Amino acid sequence: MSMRITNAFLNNQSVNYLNNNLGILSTLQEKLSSGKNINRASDDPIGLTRMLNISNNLTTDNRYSKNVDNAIAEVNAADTAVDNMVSLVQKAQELVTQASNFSNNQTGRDAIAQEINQIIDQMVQLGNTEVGGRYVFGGFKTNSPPFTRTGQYQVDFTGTPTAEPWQRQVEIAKGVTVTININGADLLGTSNGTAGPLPVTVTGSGIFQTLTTTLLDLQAAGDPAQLTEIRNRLDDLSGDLQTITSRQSVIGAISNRLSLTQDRIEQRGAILTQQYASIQNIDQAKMIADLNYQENVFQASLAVTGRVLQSSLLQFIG
Amino acid sequence: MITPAFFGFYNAHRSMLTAQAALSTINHNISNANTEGYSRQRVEITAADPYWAPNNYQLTGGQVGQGSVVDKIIRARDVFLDTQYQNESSGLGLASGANTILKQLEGIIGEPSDQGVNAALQKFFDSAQELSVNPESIPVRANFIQTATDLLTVFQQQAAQLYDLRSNIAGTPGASGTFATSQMGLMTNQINNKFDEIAALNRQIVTIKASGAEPNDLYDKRDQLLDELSKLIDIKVDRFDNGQINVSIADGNVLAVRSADVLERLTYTMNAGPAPDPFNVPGLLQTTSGQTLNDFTGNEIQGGQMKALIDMGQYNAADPTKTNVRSVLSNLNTLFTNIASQVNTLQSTGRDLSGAVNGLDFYETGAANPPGDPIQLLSWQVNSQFQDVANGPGRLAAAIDDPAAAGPPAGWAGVGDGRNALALAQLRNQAIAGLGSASFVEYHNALTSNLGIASSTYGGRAISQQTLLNNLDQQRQSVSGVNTDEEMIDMLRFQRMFESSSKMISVFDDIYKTIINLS
Repeated sequence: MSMRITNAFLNNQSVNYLNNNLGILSTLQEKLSSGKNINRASDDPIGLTRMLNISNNLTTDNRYSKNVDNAIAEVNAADTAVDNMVSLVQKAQELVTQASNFSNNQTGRDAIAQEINQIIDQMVQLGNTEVGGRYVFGGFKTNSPPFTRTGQYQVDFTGTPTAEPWQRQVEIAKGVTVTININGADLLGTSNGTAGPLPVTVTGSGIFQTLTTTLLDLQAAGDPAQLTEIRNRLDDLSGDLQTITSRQSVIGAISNRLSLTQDRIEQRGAILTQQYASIQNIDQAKMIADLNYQENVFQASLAVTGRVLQSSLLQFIG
Repeated sequence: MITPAFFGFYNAHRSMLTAQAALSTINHNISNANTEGYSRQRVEITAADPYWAPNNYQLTGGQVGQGSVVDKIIRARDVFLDTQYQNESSGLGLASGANTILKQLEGIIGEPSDQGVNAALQKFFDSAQELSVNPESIPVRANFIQTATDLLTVFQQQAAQLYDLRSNIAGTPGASGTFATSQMGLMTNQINNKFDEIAALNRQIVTIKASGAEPNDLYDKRDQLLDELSKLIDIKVDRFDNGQINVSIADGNVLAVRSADVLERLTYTMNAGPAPDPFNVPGLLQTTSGQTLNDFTGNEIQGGQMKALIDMGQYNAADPTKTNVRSVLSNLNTLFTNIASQVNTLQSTGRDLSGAVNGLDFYETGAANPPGDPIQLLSWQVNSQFQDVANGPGRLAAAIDDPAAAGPPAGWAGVGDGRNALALAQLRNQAIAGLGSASFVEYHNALTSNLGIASSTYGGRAISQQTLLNNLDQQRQSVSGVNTDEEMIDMLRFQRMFESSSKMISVFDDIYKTIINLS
């Protein structure tokens, strides 16, 4: 026996079909209007997890990228400062070479002493290079100038000494940190000396010790050892120049690594963004095709409903 | 003529009465074509007992028929389909009820979005990174405190919404007034009312049926009540020949309605504890005789929307894997407690901007909220030492306590030391033992995706259950539904019968006139 069809049955079925079709249309509408495939967790729980992972990676990378930007600004400033330090040392070398050739001309040596004195000042200034209020050569003590000159013969370093932890590190990838500073004491040294018969004793190290000694040598008028001592300084200066240029290459290496990291983050970002889009962004063309199709289906079901529900025996009996 | 005088009149009259009864029933059917739960009625017509005239057989050629009579009016109904429908209706009530609540839960957790816990965690770790790079900066420190405060706020907003949702479903532990107005309380009343109505109908039906009639419309009303009741709670119906039905609930364990008596009503009141734990099971759903139907001891209600409320609004400590309001709250609590503990450990052991180990916790717990609840997400607050706008930022321990650093003070490397902040930032990817070796973000993602899976599972179940129910309803409609065309054909049929019978009267009238005029 075939199934008896009743009016309520037809009504209910029509309402069910219309509701279903409207439901599909509403889902399409939500996706098309938001432009997103996943609007809540239940839309695609597994896809959501992947999407959140990717978006977390993207925000993390974005942060690393900012870290790298900051670090590059700082490293570049340090690089420029060290560049200038190299020029200063080379200038000192020229002056000392000149002084070692003067025979018994104290006036000339005094003039050169003046210039060396200024070089020490400039060197202190470079040692106190700051970026955004942060002294780059002071280790962790970034808020006060690491080098101070007291009188003519004393330069002190108040940054973090090399014996203590001074490496400021920045995270540039998950679990990967890079040291972005070099130590001022290691780069330029310190000095503390007093005037007296040559050879004078100047405590300290590095270029500051050499420059202070040079200054004392140049000022020791009439000392028989003066010229010998001045010539000795030439060796010291080239040693110091080597120290500074080797630190410069450390900075260059850091700078390179940071630039490469930046490139890598950008590449990865492009890939991640694409992956994210493949999960979350709707395929608009397909979606609109679906929408058109569903619209047709909906209109067809409306038309069918109108036709079926209208026909009745009543139309044919008088 | 040997048949009694006016025999034809009576015969035609009976026929007209039969046609009228049939037309009335058709009228009733058409009037109720769109009435929910109505079953089409049918007039059973039989031939009337023949006229017994043994002496006149030779003349009449046998028994003479006396026309038709209405035997009874019955309804077209298949009770077997009703039983199936009611079973599946309980299933739909459970699935769609649970799905509704899970959708609300998804709304509260709100992923994916820029306002949820996931986004707040990202911002928090971002600002920790920023702090690690710029530990000297007061604005950066202030920003860190702000994002860390925002993180707590997001957790607490969601927790407050979860408490509201639970209160709405099952009442608030300790607040006795909330139980009557909770969904479970309101549904308890609905169920009791239906018990009463069914019992009252039982009384009427048994009485009318005893007098020999079929109380068709009362049957329909009662079946409609059973349909509605089965949406709320799982029921088992026993039918008896005298027309009464008995209704049992909770997998048939509780006989609630027996004929005209409601044996067990339901009450929903505050659970005073100790077992089951009021924070897991806020209220007790009990029968008049004191049996508890929602305490996870095996006597639970098995289906219907009430079961959905029990599953979603309560927490079974023995089965913590099930996603519900309390388990989501509990997971959020576990997550934040672990965040707070990790952040506090680093903050209290590091060195602040002045180089001191200030030992301050960043997050601290205040007055218990709610009191006695093992879940204390709402009681957390940011230490007031850090809320101090002027001095708070300086108290953040961005630097580590480093025995190799000379200071001053000894152990402090200087304002540029952001290593403690870096350790904070690196918590982002750290496996946390308290979270089953997942990172914070992974733990939260798992929470979100479990919720999504539960929601889509119940959503799918609700759809398939609805389809099943629609099919069963169509089968029922096929038996019981009114087809107006069919009724109109019947109408014409009985109209003709009525007209023909009236014609008979005029024919007999003529006959009798003729006979009378003979004399």
